[in-house]
Amino acid sequence: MAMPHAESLLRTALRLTREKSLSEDLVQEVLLRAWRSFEQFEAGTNCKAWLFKIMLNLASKRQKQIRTRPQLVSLEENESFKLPVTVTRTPEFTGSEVVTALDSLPEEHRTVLLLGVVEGFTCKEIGQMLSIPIGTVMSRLSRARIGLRRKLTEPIGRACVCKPEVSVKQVQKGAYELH
Amino acid sequence: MNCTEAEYLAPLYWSNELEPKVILELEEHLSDCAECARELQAQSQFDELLRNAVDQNAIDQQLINPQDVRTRVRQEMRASESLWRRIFAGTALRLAAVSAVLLILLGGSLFYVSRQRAFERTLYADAADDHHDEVMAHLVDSYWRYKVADIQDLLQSWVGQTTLAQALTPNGYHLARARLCELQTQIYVHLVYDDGVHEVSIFVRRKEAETLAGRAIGSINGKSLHAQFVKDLQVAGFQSRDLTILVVTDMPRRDCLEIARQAASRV
Repeated sequence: MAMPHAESLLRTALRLTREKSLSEDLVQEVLLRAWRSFEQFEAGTNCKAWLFKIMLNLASKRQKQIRTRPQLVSLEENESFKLPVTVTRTPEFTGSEVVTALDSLPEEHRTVLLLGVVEGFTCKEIGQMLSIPIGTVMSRLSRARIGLRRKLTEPIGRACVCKPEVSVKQVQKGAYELH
Repeated sequence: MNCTEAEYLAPLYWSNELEPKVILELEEHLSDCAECARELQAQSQFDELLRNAVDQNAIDQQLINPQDVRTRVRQEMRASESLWRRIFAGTALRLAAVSAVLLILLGGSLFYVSRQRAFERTLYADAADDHHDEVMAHLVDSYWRYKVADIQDLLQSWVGQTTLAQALTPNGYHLARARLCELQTQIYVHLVYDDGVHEVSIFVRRKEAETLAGRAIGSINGKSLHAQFVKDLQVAGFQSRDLTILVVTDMPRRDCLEIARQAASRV
């Protein structure tokens, strides 16, 4: 039941740890933990989400224990984050450039991008995995998307059809019912 | 819906978490706002770019090999199971030995009980056969003792009670004859009583370890009374402290039981 998700787990683990051996160790432990505590899995729920939650918890613990690699400083949730350019057509970035840009993002942004964009989890599922409110997930996703695009466009300086700064602003909740 | 709200809701739009009516509102806004429409389209393309890049990067550089990990996990699982097996191996062996002993004891007990039941069933049948062949059909006319003194000697020798023949006499009957017989490899004294119409056989022996099979149908003076219908004959049996006694007759069951009750009340 868990084995088919090994590839997804590895793909995300690799981008979280940035090292092949670490990612493999991490996923191995995730699968073994899932096997040993399978009785905790609630039948009918999303097995993939359960495995990712185990992995994120493990990765978080390891990160706290090791602290060997330099930590990327993430932006505060309420910090203004400017998108310098708006790209109106998809520039031709190579996969390597995109991955390099992704890896350079703060961990919390990288995590939500991997979970939401690459693995296709919903904001609600991501919120449950990371134990954060759905509003925070949405905010992080927006910032992470803008951050990635900025990373891609800034250093390369590609010619894009741009418009002046577009701010990501918090919108007062309550105007729309989230489900 | 304005641009700021559309921007805020965009993550839910991409993950299909918006309610239909909100989706309609957002799409209405996009149809009116070219800037937001371009932005969402561009972001969708970036998302696709990111998905492909992460996938392609892992494949191109052979950075992930799920099969390797699966193999390692399965090995770990097997090793873990083996560890448990080793931990419980000794216990399992002991449990198996104890189980084997218990099974042997259980099997032996069942065998003994079944043999005992078979023995008793055959005992009733043997007694019925003896009554039929020697009393009703007169197939064996030798070895009978007719004199009371001779019968008393026989009883004294094999049962140890000289007066037993009189004690066992059914009401209205008299002692006709007696001889030794063998039922299920055990020697019984076969007493025959006659009332002028019917003959009744009473088999008696000194009790050893034998028990009577079948469910007890009653109790007389603390003696369990057993009864079986065998080959058109009624057989009733009981055991006193010292004796095993069987009554066989071709009369109805109630008569057979009555004779057995009388005998049981006197020994």
